[in-house]
Amino acid sequence: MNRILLASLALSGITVGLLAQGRQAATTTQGSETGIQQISVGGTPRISPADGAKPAPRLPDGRIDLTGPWVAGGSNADIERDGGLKPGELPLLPWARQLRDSRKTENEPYTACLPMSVPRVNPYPWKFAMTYTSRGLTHIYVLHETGDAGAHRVIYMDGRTHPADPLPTWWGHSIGRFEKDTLIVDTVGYNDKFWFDSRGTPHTEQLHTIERWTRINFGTMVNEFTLDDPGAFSRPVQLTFTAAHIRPDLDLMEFICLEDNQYGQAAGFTPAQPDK
Amino acid sequence: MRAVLIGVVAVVVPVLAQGQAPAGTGQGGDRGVLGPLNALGQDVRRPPAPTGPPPRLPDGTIDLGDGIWVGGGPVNDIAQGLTRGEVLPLLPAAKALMAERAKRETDDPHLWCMPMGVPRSTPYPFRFVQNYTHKKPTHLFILHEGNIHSYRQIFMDGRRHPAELDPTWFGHSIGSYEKDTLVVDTVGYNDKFWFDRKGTPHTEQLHTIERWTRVTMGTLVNEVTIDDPGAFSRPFTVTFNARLSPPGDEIMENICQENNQFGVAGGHANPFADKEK
Repeated sequence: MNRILLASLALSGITVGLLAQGRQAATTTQGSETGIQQISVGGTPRISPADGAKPAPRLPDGRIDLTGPWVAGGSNADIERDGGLKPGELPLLPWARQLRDSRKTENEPYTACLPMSVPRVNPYPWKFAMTYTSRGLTHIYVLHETGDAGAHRVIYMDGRTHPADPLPTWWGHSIGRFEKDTLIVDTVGYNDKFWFDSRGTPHTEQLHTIERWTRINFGTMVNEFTLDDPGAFSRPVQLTFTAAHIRPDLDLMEFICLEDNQYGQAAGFTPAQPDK
Repeated sequence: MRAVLIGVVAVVVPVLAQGQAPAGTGQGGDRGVLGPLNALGQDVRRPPAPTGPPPRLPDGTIDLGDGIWVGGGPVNDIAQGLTRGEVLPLLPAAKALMAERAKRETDDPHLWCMPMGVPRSTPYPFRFVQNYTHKKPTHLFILHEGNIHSYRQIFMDGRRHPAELDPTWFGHSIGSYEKDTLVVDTVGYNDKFWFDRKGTPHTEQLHTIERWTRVTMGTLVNEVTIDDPGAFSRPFTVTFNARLSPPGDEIMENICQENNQFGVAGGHANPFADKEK
């Protein structure tokens, strides 16, 4: 039954990609502007509070197991609010504030099934896939249920450093390490195409993010997020997001955003063309 | 360097990039800075695949995840994986559908950034990710650079296929090891993806069994049994080899739906647009 519920969640994601952005669906009212009704996406079945309060599990080598699957843990509708700031506290430079306020939710690249990037999430589950190889933990992959818009994000765990001149990409170049039980992910080399949220909060290619992921108990993982982008912000910003474990017997389902995406061109929306 | 070339090719000319592995030399005499050009773009010479014994995980299992692989499935024509002289046992309806597809090869869902299904491959690398968890490895993921740059999920925890399946592009896959061979059994496919550029079809009755054996450090053999009584008169087996990429190569970011010059932007009609009407 819960699988059916998840399937219908995925379906609503396909059918109304934009609407599904409302992590706290009841609180958003963005629909009126675009003429689309906000719908509730229900809720991905989360772990029970009792099970969630149990200690975080550990891998055979003693390291904390961050696998999940998780929901949330990042920005969605509004990075300022989602990250724990009060309205107006995000230190956007004037041009960036102006750009955000002029953007329309239906132009977010994510709604055309382009990668959601960092620290964005949606109402669907995702996983840290920690590799098990003959060389140890060499990579951690972030896999979103939204397969194509989630793609797979790679975090290099083999001790390499950032390249001197990274090619700007949607997911950037991420290197990770553990500090005690916290996974620290440092990323540069982002392109400037993705939005942090459906509100349109922008950034530039100077973006540098540091995520500090700490699984404080079985059911909860905190993402202490440093956002540093002198191109769009007057100073580095510290944000906090929290991810919740979904019921452990559930798995990521197949969800191909681009298939029959009724939100995009089929609904008459053309994504913004920043190059034109 | 190679990785950069592949990344560029993948983004700029996805349809050309579907070409079979770069064994051939240039056609038409075009030359690039590194040598002849073929359908893939630049013909890049690569060192031979290493032949030593494959590495093993601490529990003794063969490690499939220490590097990235190229090949291991059909690109142009699944019949290339048959033994010499064998032909695909296509049923008449499947043969007719293939002939129809041959008239409009741009309908290949793969070219529209839809998942490529199983056992199809691309000329771009892929990687096995054996998920490391506090339980025994429960999930195996296969990540592809090409096609939709997404992942395929294989359940390794001993579960069975559900009785009733929602048809999907990658189906429902359960995996296990038989000695040193990873065996992946999959049902629950949709009938949308093509096995290859020729449009070899299948139905929702498709059942695949992949047997992945890393015979040496640098060579991974994928022997696939295809059973689909809806499209073929009998089960058959195709074999494709994957080759290990040099150390240090990584899967690059490739976003098919970004600036896909093949699709509407390339002047081709969207084959999915009128299906429902």
